[in-house]
Amino acid sequence: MKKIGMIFIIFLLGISLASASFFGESWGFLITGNVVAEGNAGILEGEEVSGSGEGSAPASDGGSSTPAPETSPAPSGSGDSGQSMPVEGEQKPQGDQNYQQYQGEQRLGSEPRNEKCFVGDQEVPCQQNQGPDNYQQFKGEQRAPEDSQTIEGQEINMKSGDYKQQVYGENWCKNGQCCPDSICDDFEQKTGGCSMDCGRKGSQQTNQYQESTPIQNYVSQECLTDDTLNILQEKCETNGGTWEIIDVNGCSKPNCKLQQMKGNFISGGGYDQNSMQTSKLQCEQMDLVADVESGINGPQIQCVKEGEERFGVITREIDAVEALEFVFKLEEIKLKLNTDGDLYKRVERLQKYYENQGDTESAQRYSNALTKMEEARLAIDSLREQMKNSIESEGKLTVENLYMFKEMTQEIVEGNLMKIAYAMIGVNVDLVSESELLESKDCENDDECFEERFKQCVIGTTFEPSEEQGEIRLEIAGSDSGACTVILKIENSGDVNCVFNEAQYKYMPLSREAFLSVCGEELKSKITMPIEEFEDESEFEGEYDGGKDQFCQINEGCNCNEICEENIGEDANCDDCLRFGTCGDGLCEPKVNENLENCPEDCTSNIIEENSIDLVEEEILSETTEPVMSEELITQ
Amino acid sequence: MQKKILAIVMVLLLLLLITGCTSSIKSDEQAVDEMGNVSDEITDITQDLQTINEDLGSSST
Repeated sequence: MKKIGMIFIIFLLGISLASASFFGESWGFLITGNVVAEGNAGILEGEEVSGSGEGSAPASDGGSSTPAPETSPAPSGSGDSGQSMPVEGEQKPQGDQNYQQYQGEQRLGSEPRNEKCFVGDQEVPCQQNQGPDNYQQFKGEQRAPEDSQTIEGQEINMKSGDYKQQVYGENWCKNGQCCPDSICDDFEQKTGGCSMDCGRKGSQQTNQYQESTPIQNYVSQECLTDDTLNILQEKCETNGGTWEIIDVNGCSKPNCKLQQMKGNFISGGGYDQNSMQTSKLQCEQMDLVADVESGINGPQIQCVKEGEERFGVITREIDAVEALEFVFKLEEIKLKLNTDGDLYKRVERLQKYYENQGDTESAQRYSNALTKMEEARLAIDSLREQMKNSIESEGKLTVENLYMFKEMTQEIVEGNLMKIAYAMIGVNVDLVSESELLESKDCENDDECFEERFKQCVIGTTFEPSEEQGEIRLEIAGSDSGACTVILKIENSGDVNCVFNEAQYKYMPLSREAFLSVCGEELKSKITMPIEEFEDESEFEGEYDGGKDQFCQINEGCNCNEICEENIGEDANCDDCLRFGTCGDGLCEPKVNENLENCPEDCTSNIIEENSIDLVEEEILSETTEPVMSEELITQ
Repeated sequence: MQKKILAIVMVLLLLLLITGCTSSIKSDEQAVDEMGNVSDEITDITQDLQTINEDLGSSST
């Protein structure tokens, strides 16, 4: 009996020592019951497992329709750990009838797990970059696809017809209808293999051969030509916008920043649906889409390529019941990231493991991930708190606040969680890299200058958001225990001290709503809230903030009451014409794309042909009972 | 007496074994598995936040 007891004790002692790695990793089977294939463990570091290794898919000598052996599964792990990371900008092939990847997606930097790809019913080797337009967008920038890839033992240029033919089959260039040819043909629609022809719109089109308008084709292309950019620039500037070309990996992306409408820090405003609809129309005229961000003086509206908008245009408020759901979800997420939580402890264990192994680089990665997790928790908590306050004070989430919440959420995802996720899967992300430290500066009314310093809480930085000099002045006055104090000096109203915690000044957008949310009642009581006033007044009465000057370029010399009859037939509309070109205003205006289909309320009884100035005049005259513009504005 | 000591030692060893197995990562394989699980959870959190972001509204709503 004693012998059996001793043997049992020795056995237990043995496995205890094995669990503490006393005998080295090869004795791990005592605990796990599995012999570890350590050769593959290195994929943690983001290294690809060599394709020539055991179990890797050998080259097949067949065509794309030849079944290929299955790739070897990664070392045993959790069954679902092969789930792909959401990579920003990642494109997946549409119309997967011809090329179907049916089980899991490839993890960045690791061997695919149990992955099979099929062309029709036949298995083919899986490719990391499927389709000609696949690219991975990382840290907001597009990474160009690899020019070449080894498929079935052959080096194939991914941009070449050979590659496309292999991926999409023989019909990809049938009857000379290749890609790009400005025609989104059946085959391209079905395979999603030619975004240059089909774009996003194309993929939703019917199965008929369709030719898009030249602008649509140009805009749907990845890189725009100089001619297209010139056309867009002209349209942008005609609409009173500020034109900018953003270079992304050698591709010119259009960006038309529209003139801000009637908003400023003191009086607020700018978010009313009429202004937004006008901006949407202006963008649509350029075959671009509106993207709105909250700014210090109200919304900042930009026209960008479809699919590249970050926040879009929010058209509805969210009531308290629905809003509370978000608060609960955020609470749940916050708890998951808690330092006492399971997730945090597991990352901590990983960090300690690599530290003990002497792998300082990996240990540092996990250490940075822990810091980011804590930061994310604080930011999410701050977001949740502000949402809760918004519900309490206003009984809903207003459109203005929704933009702020969306921007904050996006910032947490992009600036924080994505980086943690990349670190987890071994992508070499420099989590510690921060933008260079800035010096204090008088930013005058340059909001970008102030925002980047505000994110770092650079003491001494000043900013005047209002165009009216001296009306309001912001000064970053102090930084203490992670909090940043901003003093708002408001003309004739005294000073307001606002204290932003670290999560707030790092993750909140620089917007009027952010200040109102953080500074609380003291600031609210000192600045007016004219949004309600606007709602009480007639839309077209001229006394509201901004009036004519906000919708008409002064140097255009057009009269707000006359511009539609002056310019409706001309290529160059001034803003006013578009302002009046709102569906539901009683005028059917083809110039702003109103027709029987999309605006029947105006166009069933008030059809105005383009260029028919007389009819417009008659309509305007017949509307004299409606307060189109005040006398004061007309005389201007 | 000896039996009691033996029993106590066995229990202690068992506890040591259990703690050893659960509280720390002992091999690269375990680290890979743990990394996979943790990255899945981070992905889930990211997706939850993305969903909230979408539900807050956009041009399509």
